Amino acid sequence: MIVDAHVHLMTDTTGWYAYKKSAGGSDARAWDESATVRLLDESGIDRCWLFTLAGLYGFNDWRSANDQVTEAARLHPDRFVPFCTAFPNQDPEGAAAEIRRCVGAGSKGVKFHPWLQSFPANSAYLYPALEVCAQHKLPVLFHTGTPPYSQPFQVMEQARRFPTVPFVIGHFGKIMALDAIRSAELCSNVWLETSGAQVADLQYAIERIGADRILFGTDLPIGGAASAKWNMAKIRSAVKDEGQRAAIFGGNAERLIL
Amino acid sequence: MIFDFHCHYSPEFFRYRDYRMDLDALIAEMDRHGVARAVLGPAGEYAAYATDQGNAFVRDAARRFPSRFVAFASINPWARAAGIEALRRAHNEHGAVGLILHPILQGFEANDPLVFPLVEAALKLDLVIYVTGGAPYLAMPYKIADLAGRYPEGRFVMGHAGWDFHFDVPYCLEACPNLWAETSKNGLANLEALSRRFGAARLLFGSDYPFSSYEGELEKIRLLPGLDDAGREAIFSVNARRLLRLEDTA
Repeated sequence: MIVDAHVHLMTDTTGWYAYKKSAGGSDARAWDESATVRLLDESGIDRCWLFTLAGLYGFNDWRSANDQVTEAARLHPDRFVPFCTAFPNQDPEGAAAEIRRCVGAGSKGVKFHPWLQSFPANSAYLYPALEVCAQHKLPVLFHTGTPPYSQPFQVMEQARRFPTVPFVIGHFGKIMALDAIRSAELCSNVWLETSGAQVADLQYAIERIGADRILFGTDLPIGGAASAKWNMAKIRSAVKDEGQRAAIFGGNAERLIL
Repeated sequence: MIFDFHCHYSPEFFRYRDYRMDLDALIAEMDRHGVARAVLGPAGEYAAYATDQGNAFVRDAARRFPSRFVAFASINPWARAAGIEALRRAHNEHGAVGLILHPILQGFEANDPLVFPLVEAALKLDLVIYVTGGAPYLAMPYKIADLAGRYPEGRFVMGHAGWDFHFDVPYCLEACPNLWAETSKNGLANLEALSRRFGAARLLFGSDYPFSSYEGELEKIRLLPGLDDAGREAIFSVNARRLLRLEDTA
């Protein structure tokens, strides 16, 4: 069972899609839920945590973007675990209310992208939203690795304040992998998601915290099936123990979703 | 044939944790993956400050396996005149054909005037200059392009294809025809954007071994969309051999 803890529904209303089109690339197209399912099939991924991409941009209607994700999961319940998002910097209480609404519609977790959504990850105006996560035991995945807004230690700050909420450091902190691993070492409610991790980062993380809080992720559809395969190859290179591999490839992610 | 433009060797070193490397094991790993030849540089403290020792390890490796390794020298620009002297020795006595600069480990900005005398000495020796790229703020692509742009006669390689600063890299390669991008660590989507924009000619396959794996890094280039066999061959070896003027190697 392979579970990917980082996949986006990339529709043609996203800023990233427009950027991809300008930069060129075989992934520069709109991926609706059927195309995303086909991509999972092609990549050998059984199930994924699904995030909006359009909804991470304030100029889009992020509430209806949340609806798109829950609808995709309703159509493909065995393939998609729906996550929602909210903009705490517009209205902290409104963000909390939106997460509550999405939980009612089936959301199993929350995705924040502090860089695209324009807030430092340690902001106090996230507290009402994170209170809702604590009540519903929702895992919260943050994009990280792009300072100044998306630093692993900023996520750890929130993890200390909300010790019952599982916080997932997306992209393994990328260039800030050392801080990501240290955050997980210091806070037992911090998980690390592997898209963006290098082999050496993975090996070091397993030495420090073991394999139980590491989640396989790809950031699909960006990079397409080729990127998924590369992300799997990194895990295979770094992790030789079969039990640890199975945990990272899916067991850990399944444990987090209630 | 596969030519690895970015491989490390030091017998023991520290990079977040302790590493031990064995030269025969490295050769076996290269053999297992069909890697004929690799540019070798030191790692950890031997790339940061103990560079004389690090360069000697690389020299000895290249002497033991002359057909498998191409020696590059690491020099810390803060060593100033002594560093330039060490670079000359590495080239004249040890056969190093390139200079590796590591702004993050060595603590300087890639376009700091501090590094100019070292770069100028390297260019006088006709060395290729590899700059580890992609970490904020010291080694961002625009800084490396600024350095390469000052010396249009030089041959510069941006390590890791600028890593996560992929927005900037196409502009840097456009501005600097004397700048190549090495592929290790970076993702498929970013590399594909570069190969579609510039063709395969500006990309050099690198493994970043032992920090990354041959398995993953080779697979990545094999999967890179939009390339024909000639393009893949260019990234895997033709570009590197041409850049290093190793036309003799098959």
